[in-house]
Amino acid sequence: MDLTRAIVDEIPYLRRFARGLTGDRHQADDLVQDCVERALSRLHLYDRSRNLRNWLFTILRNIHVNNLRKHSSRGPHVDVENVPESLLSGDAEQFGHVVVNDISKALDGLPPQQREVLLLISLEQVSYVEAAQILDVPIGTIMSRLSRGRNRLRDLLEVQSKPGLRQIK
Amino acid sequence: MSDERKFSEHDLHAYVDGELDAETHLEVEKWIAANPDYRDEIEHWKKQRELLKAEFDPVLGEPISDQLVALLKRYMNKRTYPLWGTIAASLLLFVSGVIVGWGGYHLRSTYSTQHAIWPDLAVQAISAHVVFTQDKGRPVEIRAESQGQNLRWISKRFGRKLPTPDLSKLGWSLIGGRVLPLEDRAAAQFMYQNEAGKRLTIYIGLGEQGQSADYHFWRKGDVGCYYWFEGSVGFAVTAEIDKSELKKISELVYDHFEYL
Repeated sequence: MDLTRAIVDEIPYLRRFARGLTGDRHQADDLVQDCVERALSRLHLYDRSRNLRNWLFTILRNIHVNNLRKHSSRGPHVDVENVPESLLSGDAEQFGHVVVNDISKALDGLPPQQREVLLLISLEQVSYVEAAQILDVPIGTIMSRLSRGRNRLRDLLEVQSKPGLRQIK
Repeated sequence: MSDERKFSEHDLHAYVDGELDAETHLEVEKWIAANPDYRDEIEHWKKQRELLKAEFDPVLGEPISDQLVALLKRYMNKRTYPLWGTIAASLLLFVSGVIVGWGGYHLRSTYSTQHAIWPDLAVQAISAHVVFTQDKGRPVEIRAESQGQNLRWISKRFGRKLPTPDLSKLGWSLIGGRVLPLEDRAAAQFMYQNEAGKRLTIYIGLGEQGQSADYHFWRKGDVGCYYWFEGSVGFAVTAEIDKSELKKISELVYDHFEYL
């Protein structure tokens, strides 16, 4: 099968993933544009034993991370893996009782590393192994980010928190 | 409530995501039935999935941007065989009438002029490769003391950080590097060697800002060279080895330098 044609077929999925990552239509369009451009110019580097969509997701996500890095005007970067668990999966109170029903807004409340894992697994439905490959982290990291991400998203989405149910030891 | 937990939270996530084998899946299912508190938790994870799908699945059917259509069109025009028909068919659902009439229409290709300021990168990289890999006495200017070491002096001369990629998993170890001229700027060459004594070089040259990236393969005699451009930096990976092996190495090098 022709690879270019196959990439075109993946564009809708790239756009869905990009929209989830950025939460913004124009940013997502730019991201997909950059991703497709890069993929088309590097076709000969594509390892045909690898799933095409996952290869494209890897490219798209790397460009996104790079964009976040470039446009970040925040303070010193702290790796989310080094932040105490209590801060990451904290209670809804942490967000000043602003509890949102809108999934898009709730996603904005997730650290990027939890957001991308959650989107890959729950929205794009890639396997844990594929997610680990796309994000270039060990599978254990995928699982812990997924777990934190889901717990935090629950806090952000729930109108009433239910203490005791959230924490599973 | 259950008196003893048999499954970790990770197991429960894996259950929701269909990652468990059939047997374990059934066991977890039974366990959840006996532990209603966790059932709520799990239902919520599933609900999140539904919310995400409801929010983002409509994107699958949205029309794609004119910009992306233009990119695909431009790309098609670079190809030596007509692909536009298949692209149009794929996008028919998403793209409006703007594509009508493109089928037989070919823009003048900008491919050959796109990197006009780089005519020499591959040529220079191959020349430098041939000259210095054959130098038995002093193949490199700065010797790497240990594999993967950052050759700081070269980075300094080059004007930006150039951490050397680790190619050891493909059987290549870093010997060292040197600084070379490329037009009126500095270029860097890093040399690697495999167990058989074959040598490979990575050549990095600076050009003008704003060049788009593209990939090319160039061969001169037995020497193969993959080269590409990332912003203002050009990269070339050169060796007298099988093209597919060279491709693998280039991929590693590309990943390594991509976000320098």
